[in-house]
Amino acid sequence: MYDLVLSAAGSVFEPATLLAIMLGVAGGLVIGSIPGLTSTMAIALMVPITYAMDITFALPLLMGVYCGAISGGLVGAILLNIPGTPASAGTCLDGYPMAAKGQVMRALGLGVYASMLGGVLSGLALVLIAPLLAKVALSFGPWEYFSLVVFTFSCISAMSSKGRTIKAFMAAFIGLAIALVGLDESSGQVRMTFGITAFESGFNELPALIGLYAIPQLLADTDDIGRRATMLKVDYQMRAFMSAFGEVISRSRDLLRSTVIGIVIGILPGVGPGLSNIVAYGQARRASRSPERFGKGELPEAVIAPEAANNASMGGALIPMLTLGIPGDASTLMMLGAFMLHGLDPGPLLFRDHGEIVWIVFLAYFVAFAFCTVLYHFFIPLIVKAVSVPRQYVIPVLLILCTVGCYALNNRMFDVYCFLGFGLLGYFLQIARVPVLPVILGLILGPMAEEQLNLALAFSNGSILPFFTRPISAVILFVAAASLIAPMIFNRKRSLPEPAE
Amino acid sequence: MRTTDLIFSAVYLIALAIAASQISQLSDTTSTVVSSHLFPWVVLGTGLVMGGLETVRTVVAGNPAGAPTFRQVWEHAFKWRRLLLFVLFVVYLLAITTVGFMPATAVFCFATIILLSPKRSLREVILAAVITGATIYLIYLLLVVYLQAFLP
Repeated sequence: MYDLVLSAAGSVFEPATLLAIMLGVAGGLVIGSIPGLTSTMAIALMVPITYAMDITFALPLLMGVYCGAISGGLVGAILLNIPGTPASAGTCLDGYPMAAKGQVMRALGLGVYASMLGGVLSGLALVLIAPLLAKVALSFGPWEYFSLVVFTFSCISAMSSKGRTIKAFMAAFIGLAIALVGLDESSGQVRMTFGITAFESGFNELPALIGLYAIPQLLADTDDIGRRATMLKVDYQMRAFMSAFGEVISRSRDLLRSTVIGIVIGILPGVGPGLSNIVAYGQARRASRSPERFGKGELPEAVIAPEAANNASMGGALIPMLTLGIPGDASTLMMLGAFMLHGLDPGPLLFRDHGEIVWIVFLAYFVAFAFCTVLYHFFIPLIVKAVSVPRQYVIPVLLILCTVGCYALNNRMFDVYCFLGFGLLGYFLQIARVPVLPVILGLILGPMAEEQLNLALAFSNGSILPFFTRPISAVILFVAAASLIAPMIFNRKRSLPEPAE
Repeated sequence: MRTTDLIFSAVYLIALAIAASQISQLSDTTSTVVSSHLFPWVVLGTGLVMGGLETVRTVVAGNPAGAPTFRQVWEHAFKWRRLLLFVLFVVYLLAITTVGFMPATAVFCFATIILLSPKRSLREVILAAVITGATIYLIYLLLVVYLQAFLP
């Protein structure tokens, strides 16, 4: 193992790679700080550009973007009361009131240091848990893998809002149906192409992912043009910023609780920092001796909790992505796309056959957090400026970069038209209030589900019994069934009349 | 919202039914252990059942209180700036193969900034020109120099 770590360190600590991580973090911070532009968008923009890069350089760069974009969301949340990314929605609740009281730098400091510590702690969890899980996963057969895909889809019910569960499943089936298009590798036949030759190789995942996320988001962002958000005046006192570190350390219990919440929610497929920050805020309030002071910008733990949790989700989300090839959230879905683009299939075999790559990801993760914290210290004014960039300048540039990225994947316009087509699909799903993430899960996991199901049935002569008789597969399917049924029970309990006091 | 939900369900069911009609074109050899029809049928069959369930749920549940009306939903979806951006983008993509990548990109970037701006002034025009120039240069570096891609 040590030779792998040393070899990975040799790649990550090369000056060019360090510069790439730093630039990735800086770019991620700028994109993440602009309200409406998410970490998923930031990674989506960068993934095609890394196509021509060596993977030992591309992955650290993407880790930098991922880390920067998640962390950047706190600036908009604190200064504008608009979260830069959904991951910082909970930070608005107390970050903005604290900043409005003239404590902008304190609020930013609390957010930045909580982000760093939450991220680093979850990184440690990633380094400890991922190799162990990968070892366990090496014993998985196609039955277990298929059950895992079923479990991932079962989590869709947890990620959908009340009354929209079936719609979320429909979205997953849209993705699965799209994944059917093209060559069926087991029988060698083309299917669902409707006679169109270009469809025979199926849809490239990346233009689909970028289209589904970027186009609806950029179209919706045009609503903000001309809308003047009142940004708080910032008095750049670094002493106030840095003294927040002591406050974060003194709230170690809140920090640890929120980090654990972030890691656990991050590990669950399909849910990520967007949920963990809200849950952590709620738990911090519940655990507080003075919950009535939450929402007033008085308590540091009210800023620490959501920021520690959303960054902790990053490490958590990387665990199933790296070990099982199952993404924890939309951003790791994009990262999964990046791995696939470079010819690597995340999963237990990645740990066995490409251990150095895994350690490069681990080390780049920590380096990215270090750069993120350093950049916040030196470039706060620049990051603050990015928050208020008028949208009319950003939108066309991002659309062009997405187009360039999709084209550069294969040097063909078909991918660009797919980008547009999937963008339209994403937009109409947005109008119908159907979540997009299940579509992407279906699209990415569809081929894996088909391959594993076919293998499992072939090994057992067409019998489905091993799915239920193999212990790990049975447990995963039981958990999947429980995660489907549990929301129904909870919803019913919620809808029952409150008992009279 | 209920009408929009029903439209979504209808489009979804039609799309999946059309896809399902293609499954019969697949063939199996006699030595095949697992039929090539199996997975497509599992996906499309279960998907159709889901669509049916959602349609029934929408009809039975009715319109939830406070939900936006059909008109509100679609008025919001077709706000003029959204439509303008979409039309410009489609024209841009179509123009790429005829006009060339760089000229089409330059015109799209400049025109979009100007047309989306809430007020038009000389400052806005200069800014649009600067951003367009910078974007074109960045793309040239990225596509031609770095990725060595063939421009359409």
